[in-house]
Amino acid sequence: MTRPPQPKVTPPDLWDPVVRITHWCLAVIILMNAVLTEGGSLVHVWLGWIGMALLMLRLVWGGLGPKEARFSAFPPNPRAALSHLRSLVTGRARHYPSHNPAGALVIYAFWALLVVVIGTGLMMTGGQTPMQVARDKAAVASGDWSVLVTEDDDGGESRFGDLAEGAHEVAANLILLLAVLHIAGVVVESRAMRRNLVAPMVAGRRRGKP
Amino acid sequence: MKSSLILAMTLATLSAPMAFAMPAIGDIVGTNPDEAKAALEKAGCPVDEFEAEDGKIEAKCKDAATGAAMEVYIDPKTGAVTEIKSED
Repeated sequence: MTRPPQPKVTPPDLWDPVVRITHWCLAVIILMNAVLTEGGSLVHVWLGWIGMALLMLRLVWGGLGPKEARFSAFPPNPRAALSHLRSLVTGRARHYPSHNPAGALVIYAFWALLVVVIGTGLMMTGGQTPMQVARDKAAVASGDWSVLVTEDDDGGESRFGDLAEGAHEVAANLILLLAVLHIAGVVVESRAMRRNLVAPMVAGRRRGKP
Repeated sequence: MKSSLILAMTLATLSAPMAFAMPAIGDIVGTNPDEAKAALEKAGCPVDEFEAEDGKIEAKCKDAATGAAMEVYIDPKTGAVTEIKSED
């Protein structure tokens, strides 16, 4: 393996379990809720809530986790991101102890958009837990509509709901767009740095295995 | 309840000459599945099923004229149609 002559500062050979689990579970949930499940369905709401828990875990981990998982290891820095992208073109990109600055920006954008998607999702469902949603759906399926009649119904709700729904969809589409960018970035970075960026996010280097 | 059913039926009868005038926002279709089913069928959109979605009743129905799948949202409190979407 040849590496550009650099000081030995590289991202970990294996990201810690919290980073890996939240990464892949969120990836699967995003894909499922964007293309497979029906908005408003019980599965969609469940996945949204699980995604919210995973996002919270990752954000807490950004303060308490190992060094390379902390926000301080990959601060948002648009200027550094640009210069990293430039250096990739000129072939003089350097290694970083955590995410590179361009990758870091994408990560923060993912998180911000996830907050929007989750927040608007909660607005649309009135903050109901998946259990409450399941109970209402079961009641309505059995012909009882009274469970949905609430005291605090106001007329202005629907325009607010439309806004939330619009924001929910726009943010979700932006996340998919970011995911494409993210994958492209991993490919480009892996090639430029002659380093497999995917393995550390899966199971690390496989030592002693065929 | 009974009066809204009569109202719905009257509306449906009145609109009968304009064959399959679809339900419109503001129409009172009823606050229970039986009334709403009858009213929406009269309005030209026979219902397959009702679902709870975001605090509203979502009636999945088919436009009898075009066969297009529609989603008619009903306020469970007033029985009024609040939103109509064609499924895409």
